[in-house]
Amino acid sequence: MIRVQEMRKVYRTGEIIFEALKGVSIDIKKGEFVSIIGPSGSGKSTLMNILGCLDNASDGIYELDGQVTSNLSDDQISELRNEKIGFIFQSFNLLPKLTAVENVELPLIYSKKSKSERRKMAEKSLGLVGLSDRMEHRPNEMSGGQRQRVAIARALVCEPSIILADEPTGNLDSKTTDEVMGILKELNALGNTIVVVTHEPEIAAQTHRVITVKDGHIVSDERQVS
Amino acid sequence: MNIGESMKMAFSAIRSNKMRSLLTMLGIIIGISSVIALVTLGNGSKAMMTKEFSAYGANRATIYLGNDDEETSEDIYTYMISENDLEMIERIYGHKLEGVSPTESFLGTVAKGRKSYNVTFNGVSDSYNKIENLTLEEGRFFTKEDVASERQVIVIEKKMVDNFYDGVSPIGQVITVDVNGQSETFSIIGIYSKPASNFQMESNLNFTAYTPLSIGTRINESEGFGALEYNVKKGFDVKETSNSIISILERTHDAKGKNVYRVFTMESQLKMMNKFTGTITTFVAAIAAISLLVGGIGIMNIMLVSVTERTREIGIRKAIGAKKKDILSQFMIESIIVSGIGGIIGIVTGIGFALIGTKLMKVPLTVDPKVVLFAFMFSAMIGVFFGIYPANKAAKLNTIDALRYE
Repeated sequence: MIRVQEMRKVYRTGEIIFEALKGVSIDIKKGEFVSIIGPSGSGKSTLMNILGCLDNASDGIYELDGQVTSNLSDDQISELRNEKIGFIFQSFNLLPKLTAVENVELPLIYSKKSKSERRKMAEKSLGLVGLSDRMEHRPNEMSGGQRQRVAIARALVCEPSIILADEPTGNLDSKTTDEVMGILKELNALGNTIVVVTHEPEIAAQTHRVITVKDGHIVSDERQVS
Repeated sequence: MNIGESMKMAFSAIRSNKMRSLLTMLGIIIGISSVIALVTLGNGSKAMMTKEFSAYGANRATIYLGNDDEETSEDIYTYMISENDLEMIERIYGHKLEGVSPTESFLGTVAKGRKSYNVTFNGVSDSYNKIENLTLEEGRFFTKEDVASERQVIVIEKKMVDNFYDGVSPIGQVITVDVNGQSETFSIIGIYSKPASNFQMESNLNFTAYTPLSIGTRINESEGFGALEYNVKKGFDVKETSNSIISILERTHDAKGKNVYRVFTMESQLKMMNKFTGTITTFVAAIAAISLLVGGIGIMNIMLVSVTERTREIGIRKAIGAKKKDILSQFMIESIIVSGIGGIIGIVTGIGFALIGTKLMKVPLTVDPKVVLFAFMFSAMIGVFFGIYPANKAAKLNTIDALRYE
């Protein structure tokens, strides 16, 4: 499903060259629940951005669903993000002026689904995260946990190959953290591939495989039975 | 993403910033409304003028003595149109002319109780009612004999009957008028009316009356006439006829090449009027262009602010699959809608101003759909032109940076 080979990422700011990823190789199979853990500056966010096709690697191969991403055009990358990747962000990243259901519909607008189809899929997706009764609420009328559930519903709605969660519980208290992790586990049980990027070992411990990144290298890749 | 969705987004963005959107539109509104108002007013007054001129008579012309600065008044006397000239013109061109008459005007005053009224007497020939568009309400116009024998007769206007004679027909009565301190007595033989003109100030203390030319000549002690009015019969060319009359006058007065006799026709007047309106239109267009340019820059400015404000939104949209052209079209459509709404408001207020203007100027309101359509299209074009840069900037934003933007 996901195949990363010898990936490097170099940032260049004037004379200063910073190597964020120094040859990273990962294989993630369909249905896996993976966490990428590491301290800040370890390169995990860079890895996440590349996995999410938000950024290009300087070197190496990234294959998503058998498709090598390096030779795709901008528009093709956008399409790929739209169809195959679902993002969950630390700061939710919902559009404040849209209601929950409109926020969830947003990716479908860009995949040119009809209005009725969009509404049906968004409602189903919100149902999965337990927010059927909050559909017409705006983000500022909801709690942090509810907002993150809306974001999860948005990530789900296109039935992506992979869900990428970047510190999904970073802005949440422990109770809602459990709530959100619970949902992610459920979604994984339903067959979704999920990659969580975090710096908290407690979060990583709840996933089935923990990849530890440090200084641009993978230092460990452990499967665990939960 | 389709246009419908983009428009929905644009409308919601405009709605959430109503005041700002309105201020942004202001430049466009002012530009478009001034164009619409002035063009509409211009068309209205042009239509009115054309109507007014055609009421005056399309075949009517006036030959007058041009008084160039270098000409002294003494010289002018030798060129004055004499009674002989008049007879000659009638003899030669009579078959081409409906009527021909000079005008000798003098002022008189009549008193009734404590009120004093001014009467403008126009001494004209018997064929004058064929030149001027006069409707005889009662009685008769004077005849050749009246003119020849200097009969003290007048034809008064309907307004004078209403205001001076309290509506009772004064035909056959005698009226004594004070002219330059001397009393002149006239008997009233007819009452005329003519279509109301927008050019003349209506006053109930001033009347106009017609009296035989010979009376005017006697009172003014004139030796010749400074102007000659006539109506060219249908089928004859006004300009050609006028030119040949002028050449005869030049020959008899030995004034060839001196350009003392000039002709005034409706045609030439309309041409001059159109030239004048054309100048004004150019002027207005220049002002409007400046205003629209400023308005357009205003739109660009606000769109740039909007792009910066919504950087994060753009990042989110791109992350979940919006393509460059989706973002581009979203912002383009927003700027087109802002300028388009500005255009519509401008058109409506412009017509409103024109309506008030036409009421004040008493000209007909003629809204040209072509102008309205052009104004609307133009305002939308401003949206396109000044929206491209901000929209392109939005579309080119780096997704990761945009997502992190606070």
